[in-house]
Amino acid sequence: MTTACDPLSIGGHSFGSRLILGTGKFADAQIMQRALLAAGTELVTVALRRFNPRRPEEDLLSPLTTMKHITLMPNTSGARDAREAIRAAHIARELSGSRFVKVEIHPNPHHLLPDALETFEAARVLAGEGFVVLPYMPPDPVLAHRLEEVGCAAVMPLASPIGSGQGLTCRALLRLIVRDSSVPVIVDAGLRSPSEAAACLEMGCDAVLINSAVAAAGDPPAMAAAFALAVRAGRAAFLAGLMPRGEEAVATSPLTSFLSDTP
Amino acid sequence: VELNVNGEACSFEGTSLQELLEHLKAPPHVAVVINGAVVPRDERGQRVLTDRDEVDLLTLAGGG
Repeated sequence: MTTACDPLSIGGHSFGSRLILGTGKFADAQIMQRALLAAGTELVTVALRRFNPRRPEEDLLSPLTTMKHITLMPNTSGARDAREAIRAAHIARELSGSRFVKVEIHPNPHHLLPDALETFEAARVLAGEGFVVLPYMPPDPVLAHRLEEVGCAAVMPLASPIGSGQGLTCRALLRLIVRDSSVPVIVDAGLRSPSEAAACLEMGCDAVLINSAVAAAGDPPAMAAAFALAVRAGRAAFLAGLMPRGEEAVATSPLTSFLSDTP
Repeated sequence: VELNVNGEACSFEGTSLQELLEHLKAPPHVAVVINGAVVPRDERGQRVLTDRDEVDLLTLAGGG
């Protein structure tokens, strides 16, 4: 199965890649652009910032808009509640021209875990206004269902805290979300290695969103390419169907005792 | 006028938003928010600044 005939569909848009990349923490815009190309990603997150005339290189809009195959998904990072997130989404849409928004409300800088109540409220309002809403959320199957009900185009449960690299600490909860969700499930935050991304796709998650694991790698473009391979392998394995797990061994070779001395 | 631009006090000779943007060398794609409300692009030319206006210039930067 190739990705060409297995697109990721979000809010009526079709993407050939199931690897979504964040653009934070890169040493410079050139390395970021090389990583995006190596990843083959078609959907990237960006953040809203004050324009600093003394540091124009921080402005990513110009380099990113030259990459025509990429859809921008601004996040609402920095918002402490739903009201601020909604305002950030409106400004970001003015800047990016994109209807995609990653609702991200994490008031505590120590763990950056999402505020479920404010996230729900912001997602509800923005989905009603016609945004394609992808909420960053705790791995809570009930919340995932409620976000789907109010019109979110996908749900994005975390695997572990943002930027921690702790990997898949919530595998059992993610399985429940995948089982019950009828919108795409995108694992966002906490992944460190391509094998973890492959595991997400193998269990039926529709995509992963990776930032720190690529940006903080020794060679970000090379790591982006490694994640792209892992995501394709994981998706192909999911579509192929994993064998059932058993309690006991099941021989793969005949056990006929023709080598034994006793008849 | 006496303004607050991106959180810093700013004295500006003039009252035109467009002239302020040119003075700050802000690229045309930045979003402008005055006193919490987005100023649409096609209204920037006519927008007049008054004392104590809080002007925010926003753009997109790296983020996850």
